Amino acid sequence: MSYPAMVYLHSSPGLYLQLTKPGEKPQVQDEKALAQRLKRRDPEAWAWLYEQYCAKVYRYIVLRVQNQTEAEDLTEQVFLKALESGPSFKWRGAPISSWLFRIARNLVIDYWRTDKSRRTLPLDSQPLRETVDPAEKAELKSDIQQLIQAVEQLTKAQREVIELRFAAGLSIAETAKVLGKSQGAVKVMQHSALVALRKKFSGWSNHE
Amino acid sequence: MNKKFNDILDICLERIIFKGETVEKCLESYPTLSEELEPLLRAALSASDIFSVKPRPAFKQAAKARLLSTIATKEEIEEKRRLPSWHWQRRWAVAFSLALVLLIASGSIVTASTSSLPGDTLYPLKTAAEKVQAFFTFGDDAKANLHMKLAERRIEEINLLNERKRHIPVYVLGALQDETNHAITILNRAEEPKENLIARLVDLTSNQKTVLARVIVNAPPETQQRFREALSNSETAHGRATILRERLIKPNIPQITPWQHNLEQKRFKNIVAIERGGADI
Repeated sequence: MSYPAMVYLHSSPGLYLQLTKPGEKPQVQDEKALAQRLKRRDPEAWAWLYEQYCAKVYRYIVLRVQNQTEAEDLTEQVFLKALESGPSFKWRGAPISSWLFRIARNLVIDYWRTDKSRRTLPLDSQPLRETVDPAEKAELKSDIQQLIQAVEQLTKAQREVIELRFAAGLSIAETAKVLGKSQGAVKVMQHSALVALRKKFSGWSNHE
Repeated sequence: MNKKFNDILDICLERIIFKGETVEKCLESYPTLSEELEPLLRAALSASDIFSVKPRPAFKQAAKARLLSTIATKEEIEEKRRLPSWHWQRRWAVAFSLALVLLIASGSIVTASTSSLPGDTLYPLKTAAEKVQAFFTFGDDAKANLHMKLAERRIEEINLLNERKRHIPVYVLGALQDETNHAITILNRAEEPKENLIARLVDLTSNQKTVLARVIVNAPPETQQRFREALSNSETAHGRATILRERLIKPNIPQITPWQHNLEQKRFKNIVAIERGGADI
């Protein structure tokens, strides 16, 4: 779906919400207007939110459940749950993304809590970044495997910071809101997680 | 020092991973920390690169359609809830009916509401007056006539809303289908249905198809599915109306039983699909 550089969505006379194309973050003043429109179940605002965050939410979930089908199911549930809770949602200045990722995080926690016998699928059946070259694809699978193993050895808090920052692409402020921690604490965890990852993952040298 | 380093590390990560700057360019800004920063920035860059898996486009599209369809359904339920409910207590309905009869007698408000469209303030009054009219209509022919008249009214409203580029609430599509089906049911069970009523039904369902096919292109994406269903229903209704007309010419054709209706519906959908060049048999 292609987006114009700027999309102007009129919600009521005199009030408009300036939405950016996917990948760009809305301005703080827009977040409030967006929250109001999501609360009213405005289809255009929901479509925009979905386009903006579907891939990010999916990336965050697929790395945590390591199963494509379950990740797709959970990603869809995140948006449906957000829709359900939309009318009671109160915007208190936090980014909309942190609300969405809190739902995603809770769903993943419930997913593992309800059935501890769940098994992950081998990486062969995992969705990978689009690569044409089979050799590159094989190398990428190996890198992902190593990275997942390295991430699994981190502390729970460090792991969450890495997944939210580098898989979901959230900012420090958004990550802090999702985890309910201060930005300073998240920066400390990010630093220690990268130091630990650097030591554990041998594959870095291939990417340097 | 450590706090300052963490801040600089984060600034560099934002510049490299989220703004696409090179590691070298960023390190130039912090030459004294470059030795310590570089391995961490490269580690983060690699993690971000490796993690860049994408959802399947088919899943992404289907899930979006389901999300928007859920929104449309919820809106429909809300709108129905906002409209006065005539089914929950018959006694209230009768009392209100009498009150409305008085209003009809006095004229003014109801007369004003007759030209209202779905979404207008007076529209609930218009539909309420119609329900009163249906309540006091007796005899199969009269009832069939009234249901067809109301179906014609709904299609006219859809047409007007479309012409005025106004939102067409999906409950109007439901009302259109209900009125048409009531008329078909009454005419189908009649021993000797009147030719003029059947002819009117054939014209009505044919007009429905034409209007819905025209309107569907302007429907917003979240209600497209509902409009497609309504169009499909009107095509089925037209098929049933045609069968009723054939039965007038050849009286030995039996009445349409529910299971025959289902079969006919499938057959008609296939015919429509073939006509559109997209048969899925």
